[in-house]
Amino acid sequence: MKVIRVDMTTKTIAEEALPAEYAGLGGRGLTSTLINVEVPATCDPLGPENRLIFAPGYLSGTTLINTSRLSVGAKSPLTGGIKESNVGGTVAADLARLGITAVVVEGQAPAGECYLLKIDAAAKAQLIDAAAYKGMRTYGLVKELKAVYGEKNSVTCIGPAGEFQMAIASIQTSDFDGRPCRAAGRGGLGAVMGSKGLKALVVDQGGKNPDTLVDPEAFKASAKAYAQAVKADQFSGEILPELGTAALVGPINEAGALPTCNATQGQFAGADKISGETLASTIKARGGKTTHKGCANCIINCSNEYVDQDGGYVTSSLEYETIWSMGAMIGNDELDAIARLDFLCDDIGLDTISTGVAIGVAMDAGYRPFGDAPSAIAMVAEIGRGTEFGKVLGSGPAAVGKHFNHQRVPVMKNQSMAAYDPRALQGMAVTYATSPMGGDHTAGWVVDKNLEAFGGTLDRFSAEGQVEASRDTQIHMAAVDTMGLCDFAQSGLAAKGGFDHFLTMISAKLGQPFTKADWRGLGRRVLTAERDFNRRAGFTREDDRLPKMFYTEPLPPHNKVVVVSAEQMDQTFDF
Amino acid sequence: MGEILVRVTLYGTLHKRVAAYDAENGLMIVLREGDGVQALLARLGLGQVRLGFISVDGRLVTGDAPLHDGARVRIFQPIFGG
Repeated sequence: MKVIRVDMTTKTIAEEALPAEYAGLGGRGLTSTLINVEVPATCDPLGPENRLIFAPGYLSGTTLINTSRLSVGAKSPLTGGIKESNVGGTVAADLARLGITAVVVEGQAPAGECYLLKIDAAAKAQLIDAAAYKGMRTYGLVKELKAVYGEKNSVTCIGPAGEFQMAIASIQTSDFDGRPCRAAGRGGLGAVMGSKGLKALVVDQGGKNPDTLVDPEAFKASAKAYAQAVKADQFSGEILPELGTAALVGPINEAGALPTCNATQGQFAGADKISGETLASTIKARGGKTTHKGCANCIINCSNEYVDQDGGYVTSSLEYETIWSMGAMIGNDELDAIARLDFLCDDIGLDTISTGVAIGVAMDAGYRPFGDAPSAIAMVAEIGRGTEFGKVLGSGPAAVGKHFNHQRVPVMKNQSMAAYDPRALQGMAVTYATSPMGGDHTAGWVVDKNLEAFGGTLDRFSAEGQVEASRDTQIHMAAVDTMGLCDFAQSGLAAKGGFDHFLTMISAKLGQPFTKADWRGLGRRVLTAERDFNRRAGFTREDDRLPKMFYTEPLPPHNKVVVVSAEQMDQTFDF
Repeated sequence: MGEILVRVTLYGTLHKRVAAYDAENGLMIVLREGDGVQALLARLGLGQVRLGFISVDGRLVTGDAPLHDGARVRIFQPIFGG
């Protein structure tokens, strides 16, 4: 349980044991509570006072399946509030197996300097001059770093967008095959990394010193039962391996909730051309890979490798959110173009969601027509080159809206919404509006609760019960993100006895009972810290609102608007 | 009793459970006039399969919704997202 502190101003590295008050925390719980304590809420997100924290989940590095989520936290240059963005790949497991609970990067290297942080097999960290890698895109960078430091290292890095300190820059990390195709995309944390002068985090994969389990036998038995439940579930055991997250395109489009052409429509006429079914058949016909392992300890294998007509690698993994943002949201029904855009974003180091929405806003403003895929590709290339317009796009959808004096900009706390239109799923309106993270679907995904066929009990066009549903899910997800559990392995929690097994595993590591009440308390603790930070950063209840478009522009085909009132939104965190 | 013809599209991995399914074109199914969604599911062998939602002509339906000649039926599995 070691914290590594890296001061980029003095180029010094210190180690400390995790302070007792943070015991039982990992992932988002640790990044958010540390930031709330250590980062001045009104600081410049791109200045030396901000801190960039990498933290594996509390259960990362254990034998439990699908616990390889790395939380990255800082004050966000995009939202101006606290941010946690989590990502898969292998780095969370790599750090945890070295016994590292968090890496805290503070200070700031002088402008123009560039470093990488190497953590070796003995868990010793070293700052190394990385001037030779300045300006490199992520795929080329990872190839070179692996050649220098060895294949058995994970690489977590930024591309040009991060170095340009653009507000939608991502942090990319290598997947199970060593490609930098996994993104901590939201909130511009790549810009924070760039502002520190840190190009990459290179972590040895040979760690054999994870945190000790107090009761390894109890952990082992519950981990086995949990894995069996995830495998037995239809969605995580059958649908995701075959179609990946793209399986969502068809049903969400049919529900009229797929934001299309900058959220002017809820159904995309070209949805069948970009659906999970079409994606899988295209990949198979070309000799690519579905059922691909992207993250350490994964048994779901929802990743894929998209290839071109000659079977050549294009990108991995083509996911639902990207298919939406680079597809329906910009009116593009060409899978090959979506795949190319996904690769470019990974290579340049950009959040695919915010980038696609920025392009969508530009198209809606008349800059280029919807569906013009070559122009979309050219726009992303401009971001990579750092042209004047590229910098506007790289500042996110709201900046693009201001540039064109265009009012239809689907952002919350300046961060774009994701692939679920809140007018067709009122519960998502609450999550988008109130999450301390800004427009974020993972913070409180209540689509299932809004659709009767998926076991939901709420009328998706009514406000009734939506605040309670979002509150419950936001509390739950704050705890999930603290543990490092993959979203899609939550099927194990839903299985009979699954949640008890999960609590047993937490207890087995913690060395004391951990109950359902503790779980809820953990989620509330994390959200409270995040809300406290945002309040001190200047956020008020007026920031827990949606843009006007969602209240005044009915969304076809159901022609509904958001009906959750401001007063109801304000009750979300009454706990 | 007359007959009606409906076009069925299956999503997710449902195609594995309907042997005659054509991924390119879907399925054309003949039903009796007055038959609804439940009769269709029984015909497809999906009566006991856990399903998500079903849409008819682009609208989500519940229960034993009626079908008409020329109806476009889409059948989805349960999803979870993030």
